[in-house]
Amino acid sequence: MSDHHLPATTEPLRVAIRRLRWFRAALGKHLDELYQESGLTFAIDDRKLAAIFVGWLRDIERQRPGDASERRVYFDHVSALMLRNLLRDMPLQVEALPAHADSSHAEYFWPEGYALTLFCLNVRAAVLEQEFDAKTTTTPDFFSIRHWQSFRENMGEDSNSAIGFFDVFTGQNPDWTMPDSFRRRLDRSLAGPNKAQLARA
Amino acid sequence: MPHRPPIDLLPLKDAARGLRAVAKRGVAALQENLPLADLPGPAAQLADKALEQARAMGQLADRGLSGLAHTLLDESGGVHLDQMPVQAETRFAAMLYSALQDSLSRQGTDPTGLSETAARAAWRKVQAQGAATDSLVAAQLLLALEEVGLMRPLTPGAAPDLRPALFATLLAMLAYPDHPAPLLATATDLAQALGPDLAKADSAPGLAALFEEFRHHV
Repeated sequence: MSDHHLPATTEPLRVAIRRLRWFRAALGKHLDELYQESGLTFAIDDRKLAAIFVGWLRDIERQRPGDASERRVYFDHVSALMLRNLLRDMPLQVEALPAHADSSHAEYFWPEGYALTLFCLNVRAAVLEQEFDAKTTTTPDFFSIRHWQSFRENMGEDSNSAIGFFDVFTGQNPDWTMPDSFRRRLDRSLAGPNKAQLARA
Repeated sequence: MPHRPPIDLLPLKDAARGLRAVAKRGVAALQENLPLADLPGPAAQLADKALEQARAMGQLADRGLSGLAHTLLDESGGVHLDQMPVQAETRFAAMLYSALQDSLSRQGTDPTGLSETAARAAWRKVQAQGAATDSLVAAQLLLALEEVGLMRPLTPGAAPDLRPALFATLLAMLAYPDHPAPLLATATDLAQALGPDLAKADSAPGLAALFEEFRHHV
């Protein structure tokens, strides 16, 4: 399995990520590694993170599918909801930017948003690889500062837009109307292969 | 050899802790309020010495009795809420005391005045009820612990709300019965996040549902 820079666990990742202590450890490790690469440091509000975690668990439990064939799409949805909730209630606060920070790069333009988006992308990639032996990539849009500018602006108006941008970054066809509905995601998935699937074909 | 009745250590431990807390607070209050600086040298030294002795007495009482309790009781094992091993009630009381101290401190609440004797009384009451699941036992324990007056503050004033700390402690025990201590920080944050749900839950089934919902997510 690829190294997704997550803490070791004897449990399946889909189980471990639903334990607050592992979730915290995974985010902490991710931020440490981001610091090594970018010089960015963050303060984490643990209480807020716990409240976000509780809300996310309840959101995903409400929409959990009964049919095993829907799990693959469900994991995409779960990752996107995690990002939506994290960005909406924001448990991070960037500390001082490094001297070399260049705001034409996403990580310095919106450090908290970048850090959390990358975290959710990594978790999704690790879970999909473990559960479905699926390789994932990010689209070139992830490296476009224009997308990040639009992402940040849209988040100020509607937190659900995080789900759409997450889908853009993962090469899926975003639903900008009701992105938080798993049923709609599933229906759209069944209606036709998304961009990423086509690219892999 | 004459037969001696077993000593009930929990009230002694509670009393010793109370004595220590009183001594500590009393010394602090006296130091704050007595005009020691205005006393002539020999009198100030005498007062200082007396205060120090009072503090030492409280600490000795606590250490001595806690040490005795540790020697006589095996408190190292875990507590499984659906089982009733020998000495489980004493283990439960000791573990709850220690875990609650931790959880309350994390919430910024002074844990002084917790009673292991009251914790044991709650355990006995719930064991007698014979609940079907360990989540329901945890819920019944939480309600019983609230009812027995677990916290006996040394000074007048409203007792703190123990429910989030109780929930956190019992949740950690459910999640990892053999070694709940490392889970307390996470469980305490979960309990605080669930504050509104905990405040609304007024029955054992309602609380049991919350325990069941989150026991695998600590």
